[in-house]
Amino acid sequence: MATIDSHLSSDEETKNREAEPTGSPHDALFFVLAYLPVYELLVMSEVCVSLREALKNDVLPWQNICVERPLNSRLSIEGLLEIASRANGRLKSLSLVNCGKITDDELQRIVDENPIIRKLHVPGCTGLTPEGIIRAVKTLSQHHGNLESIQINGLFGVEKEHLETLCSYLQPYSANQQKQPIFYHQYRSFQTSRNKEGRRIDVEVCPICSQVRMVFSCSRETCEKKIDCRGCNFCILRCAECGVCVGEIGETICADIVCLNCWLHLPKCNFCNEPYCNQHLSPCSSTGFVCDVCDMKAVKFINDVSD
Amino acid sequence: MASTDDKVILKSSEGECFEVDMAVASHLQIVKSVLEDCEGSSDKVVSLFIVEAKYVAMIIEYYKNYVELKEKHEEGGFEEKLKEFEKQFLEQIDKKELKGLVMAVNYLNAPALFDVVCTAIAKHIENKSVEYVREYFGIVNDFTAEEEAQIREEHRWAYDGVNDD
Repeated sequence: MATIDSHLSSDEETKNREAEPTGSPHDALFFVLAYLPVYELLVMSEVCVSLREALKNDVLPWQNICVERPLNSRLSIEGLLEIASRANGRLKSLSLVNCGKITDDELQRIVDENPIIRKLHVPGCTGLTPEGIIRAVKTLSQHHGNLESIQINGLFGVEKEHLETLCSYLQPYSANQQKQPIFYHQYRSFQTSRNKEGRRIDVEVCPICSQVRMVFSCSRETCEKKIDCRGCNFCILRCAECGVCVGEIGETICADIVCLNCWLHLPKCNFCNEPYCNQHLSPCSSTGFVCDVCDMKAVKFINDVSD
Repeated sequence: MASTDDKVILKSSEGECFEVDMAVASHLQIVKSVLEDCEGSSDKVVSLFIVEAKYVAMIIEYYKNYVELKEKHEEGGFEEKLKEFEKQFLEQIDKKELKGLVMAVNYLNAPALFDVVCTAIAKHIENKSVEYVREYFGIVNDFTAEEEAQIREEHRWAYDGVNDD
C-alpha cells in the first residue's frame, strides 16, 4: 500500500504541538506571515516571543514590502530603512504609495543594499525627483538587470527625456508580454500596485498634451465618439465607474465624474437625489441614505431651530 | 480499466476513504509523488496520516471545483469564476478550521489552496491592533513589560493614530 512513511516523524511532532493548550500561536500563523503587509508584520512581531523570533530570523515575509494607506502617511525615514533592512539585502519588490517623506538618498541607499529588486513602485512619493529615480534604476539595471517594472506616477517634473532614459534601462517587453491598457475605473479602485502587473512603467507620453502622465484607454471596445480617445486624465474626462470617455457628465456628491448611464444606476441621496460614486458610497441599507451634505444641513437646521 | 485507473483513494487520519479523480488528486503534490514512486502497483490508496477527514473533504471540494471551472472556462474568465467560488468556499469555514486547513494543505503541498487560505487568515489581521490579534488567535503575551515597551518604542512611527479595534 502506498503510504507516506518518511514524513511521519516530523508530522507527529506537529500534531503534538497542535495539541498544546492555547496560549502559543497556532503553527498556521507562521505560514501566514509571508502573506502579510508591513504594518501587520510589525503588529505580529509584537504579539509574542515566538512570532517575534520567527520574524526576526526569516527574510521571506520582508522580501516584498508594500506601504500604502494608512501606513504611508506615518512612514518615517528611519521606519523605512528599518523594514528594508529586514530582508537582509534580498528585497524583491518595494512599493511605496504616496510616501511623501522619502527622498532620493534613502531610495538610493535601499537600492544599493538590495540589488535584486524586481519591482520599484513609488507612485505619489513626491519627495523623489526624476533624477533620483533614474539613478536608482540605473544602479539596479547595472547589477543584475532584474528590474521588471517601475511606477512613478505623481512624481513632479518627469519629462519625456527622463522617461526615455528610464525605458532604456528596463528590459524590453518579451513576445508574449504586451503593453496593457490602463482603464481609469480600474486604476481608481485599486490604487495599490499589487494588482497592476504586466506593465514595465506606469506613465507614458499623453498623445494629446504630450505630457508624461498616466494615459488611460477607453473601456468601450469601439469608442462612441469614433475618435481615438486615449489620453491622460487632464485631456479626456472619464467615468469613475466604468472608465468610458464621457460627453454628458453626471455629477456626484463626491465631485467625481460619471457617465449618464452609471449616474442613473447609482443609489441616490433621499433628499437631494444625487449619487455618490461607488468608491465613496458607504454601505447603505435598502431604504437608501442621506448624503453628508444633506446630513450637515439637517444638523444645522435642527441646531438653529433649537436655538 | 480506464475508469479505475484515473481514480485514487485518499485515506484520512480516522481511516475514512475518499475516492477522487486523478485530475483532482494530482494537485496535491504529495499524493502525486507517492503515486509516482509506486508506479505500476495496482493499489491506489494513499494514507494521509495526519489529515482529518473534514479537511480532506474541504481540500477535495476545492480542487474538484478548481478542475471543473478550469475545464469550463478554458477560453477565459477562469480566474474570476474561481475567485467567486473561493469566496463561497471560505464562508463555510470557521476560524479554527481555517488554521487546521492551513496545516493540512501545507502537508499535502497544494500551492493554490495554500495561498487562498493563508490570504484569508491574513485578511483577519489586516489593520488590527496587537491586542486584537492576541485575543482573536488566543495567544498569550509572553513578553516582559520592559521588552514590550521597548518594542513598542521601536515601532512607534507605525502606530500613531491607529484605532484599537
